[in-house]
Amino acid sequence: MPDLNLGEFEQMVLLALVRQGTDAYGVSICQDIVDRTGRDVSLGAVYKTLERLEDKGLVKSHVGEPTAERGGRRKKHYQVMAPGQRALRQSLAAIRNMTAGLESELKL
Amino acid sequence: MTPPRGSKGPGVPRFARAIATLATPAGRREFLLGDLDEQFAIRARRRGLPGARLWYWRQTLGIIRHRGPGGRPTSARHRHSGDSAMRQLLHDLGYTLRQLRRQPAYAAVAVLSMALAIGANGLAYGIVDNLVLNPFEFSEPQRLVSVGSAFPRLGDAEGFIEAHSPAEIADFRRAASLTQVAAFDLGNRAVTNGASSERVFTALLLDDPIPALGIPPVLGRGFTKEELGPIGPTVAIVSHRLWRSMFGGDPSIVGSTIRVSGRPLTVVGVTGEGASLLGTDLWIPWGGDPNDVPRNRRQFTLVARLAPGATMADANAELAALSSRTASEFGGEYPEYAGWRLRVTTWTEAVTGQLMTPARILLAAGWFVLLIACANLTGLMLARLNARRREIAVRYALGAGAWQVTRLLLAESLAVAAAATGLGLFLANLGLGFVPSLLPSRVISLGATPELDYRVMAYCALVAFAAAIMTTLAPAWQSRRSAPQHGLREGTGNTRARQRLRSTLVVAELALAVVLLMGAGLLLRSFAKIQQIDPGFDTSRLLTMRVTLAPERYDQEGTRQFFLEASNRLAALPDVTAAAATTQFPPQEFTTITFRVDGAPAVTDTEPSAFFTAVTPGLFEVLGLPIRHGRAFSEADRQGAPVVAVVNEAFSRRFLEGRDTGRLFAGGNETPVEVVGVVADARNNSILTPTRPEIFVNHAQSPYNNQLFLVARTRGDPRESLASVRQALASLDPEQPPYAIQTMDEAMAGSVAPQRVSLTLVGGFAAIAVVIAGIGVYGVVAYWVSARSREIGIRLALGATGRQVARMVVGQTARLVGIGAVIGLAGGVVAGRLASSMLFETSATDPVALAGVVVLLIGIGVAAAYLPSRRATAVDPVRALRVE
Repeated sequence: MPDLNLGEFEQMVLLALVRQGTDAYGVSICQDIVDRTGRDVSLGAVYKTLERLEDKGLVKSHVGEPTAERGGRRKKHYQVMAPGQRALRQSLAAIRNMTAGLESELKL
Repeated sequence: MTPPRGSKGPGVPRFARAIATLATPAGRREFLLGDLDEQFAIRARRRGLPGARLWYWRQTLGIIRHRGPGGRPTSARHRHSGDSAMRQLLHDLGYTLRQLRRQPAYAAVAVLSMALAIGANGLAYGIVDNLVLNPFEFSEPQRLVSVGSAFPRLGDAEGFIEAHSPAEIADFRRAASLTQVAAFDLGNRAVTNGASSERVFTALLLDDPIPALGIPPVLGRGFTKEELGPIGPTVAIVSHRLWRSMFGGDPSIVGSTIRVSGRPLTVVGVTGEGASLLGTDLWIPWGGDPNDVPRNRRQFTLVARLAPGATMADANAELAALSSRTASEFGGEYPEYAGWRLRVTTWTEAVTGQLMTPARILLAAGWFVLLIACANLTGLMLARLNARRREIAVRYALGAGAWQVTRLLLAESLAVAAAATGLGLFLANLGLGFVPSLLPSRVISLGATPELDYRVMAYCALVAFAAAIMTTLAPAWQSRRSAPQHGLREGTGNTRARQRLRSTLVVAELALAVVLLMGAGLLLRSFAKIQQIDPGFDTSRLLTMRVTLAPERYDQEGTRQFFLEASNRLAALPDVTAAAATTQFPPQEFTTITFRVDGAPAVTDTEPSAFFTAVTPGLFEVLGLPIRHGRAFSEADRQGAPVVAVVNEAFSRRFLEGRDTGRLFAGGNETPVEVVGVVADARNNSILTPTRPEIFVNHAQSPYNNQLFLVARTRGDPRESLASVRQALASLDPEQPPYAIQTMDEAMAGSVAPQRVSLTLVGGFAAIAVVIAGIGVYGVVAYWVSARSREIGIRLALGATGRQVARMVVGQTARLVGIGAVIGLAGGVVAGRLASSMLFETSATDPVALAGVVVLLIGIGVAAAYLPSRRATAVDPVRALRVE
């Protein structure tokens, strides 16, 4: 069993992918994280993470059509695969388990 | 409006994009940059350009931080971080930076002069690389070739032209050393999309060029064999550029129908970005039957790839054999095949070869500036070494080796070079932004734009590194003499040797700067002479434009009527004094014809040829070319009447022994053409060369030609008459819009663009060189004064006047400048000889240029000596003597 533990940023990227379904791509993922967390996220970081997740077999991608507003460049769409769903579930469960009972202490 | 390559989406910071492109791994580049462009456009719309640019820059920084591959982390990541030599150099760099911060004036002068030099090199290479060496983005461009052909029998053994007949192309296709041969003719077609109609530069294809170019279409596909057959065009491919500008980048264009010169064609593809075929925006099948074209109708250009394993030499050898075979087989029917020469060149060379000489000059000028800056920085470092001699002696005394001291000096050079590279790239980027305005639109339309891409950055980095090494050499060699026993003792030690070395360096700087100045002076003289050339006619207030009539709607008679009527309507406009139509006009004509003069001895080795121009009767009057003998054309010279010609004086002198009558047989045609008049010469074969013989015929009596220029003489600024001219043409036929609109003065300026670009850039580089060399002279003289302040103090105390002291300083300066000037002028003459092809009626020893350089040098000397001599005369003798 390969090591599928997720980093925090990987979790966020995967969650954004789940939320957006099949149309997600670099900008939309980046925007979602910025909007929801208020963090300064760069596209470079998002792409690097997506490549890593794809390498781990958690997401898959397909290449779309070129458009004029992209300077005739194509777009790469990403989608979560079953192992990605599973990894995310485990990761979130781990957090839930670890935080269980600490709600008052952490003022959650 | 066609956006140039590299500026997709207006306003994107180009420098940031170049960095982002460089820092992004290839696998994600397309997608990430696409995202950036898309978001940038949205942000620019919503929140304004400055915010969007800031955002782009921040994203670029993010890309740099996350530039690594996204694969799974491996244990290899936890490598040892850097070896010890590197760490030591970094340590030295840190020390150097602290040192430099303490001497901001020195650091500023060093970095600035080096930045100017690196900027100049970046600018030079940015132009040369993008326009001459690598203008195209094809894969393996060195294997992409074209074939040129020269006919010694037609009088030109070296003038290789990339034009062939279909039969010749078919022979080339059989050559084993060539593969993916694709032939095309060039033309213009009107493309209609909804309400808008546009004249676009079109390639008419015998083959699909996509396999040869090696860039797949971004949408759809290439042409099939059937579509390229003799069935007339039914399909079209549009360029990436046209797809975006005219069709808004709509992907549904594939499969849709567009109207091309009135004919509905199905779009089957959009070319990949950078798959430019001489800047054409529309590709359509030629559609005729190659077998119907005679062997001597040479109108197709060829692009091909060397077959796997084949070399350029193989291809040339094979085609040489082919040409002699063709000569023996077809030489009887087509005598021009005798001695036929074929030459295979890279596609890049075929397109940009004539720019090679200006490119070399530009690069050399950049290196000169760099050498000057290196000499300057070396001089500065030597001076600082002098001030640091105790520090270095202590280092030696504490056991440092020569290498450690060298490393310290290298760290300083590297720090300066690195800072200068950053600033230099910025300057180069700034300069490159101005280049397109210098270039003729013909060059821009090829699709290449000078820009700061990764190759230019790499070149600058290389240049900067070389500069750092060069500037370290002399100080390192000098510092080895700073043995402790000298350095720790107070006194002059070997400072005199150092001063001599600095003087030598400054002389070298001056000599190099003088070479550049001479170059700029010679180019300026040439350009002034070019400006004085009399083109033979009044070029002011002339508006020119081209009109191509759709052959489907205009037959021969219709075409003749149209251009006569168009000329008349333009001439009737209130702000136009005269107008006419012509197939070509000075200063750069292109259509020639071979002919025979009746009664002249039979042709022996070369057949006479001349420019052949069909005109409407009023052309000579519009251009202001007087009829010297005989008559001009009249309305009576129509179809059916005897065919008449007017020739220019050059023709009359060369072929008619000065007469104004004669009978010609032109273009292998047996119908005689009577010469009825001689018109004054106009420079028709570039403004720089003497007028070529030219034959004019009345368009009403010439072979079918649906593509003519309209030339109108206006009362005021010709550009202001454009609207009314367009309107007059639209009233005749709204579907035949004029294009290639330019004033005659613009055409004249365009014909000397290489000279103008060289002059501007070499002149700019010379100015930079002078500034840097001036700083160098100043530095040496100022140091000389401060080192001699005691001596000067004594002299003043003994009664020397300020004037005498100033003379001493000026004399010192004059010696440096004088020696530098003599060496430099000699070098300048040699350089002028080497670059003589860029000079026009100017000798390398042109007295005006020489005198100009000498005057400028005296100016530099005076400027450099002024402050030090003021300081010298202000020396207080009492204080100077009390120093120790």
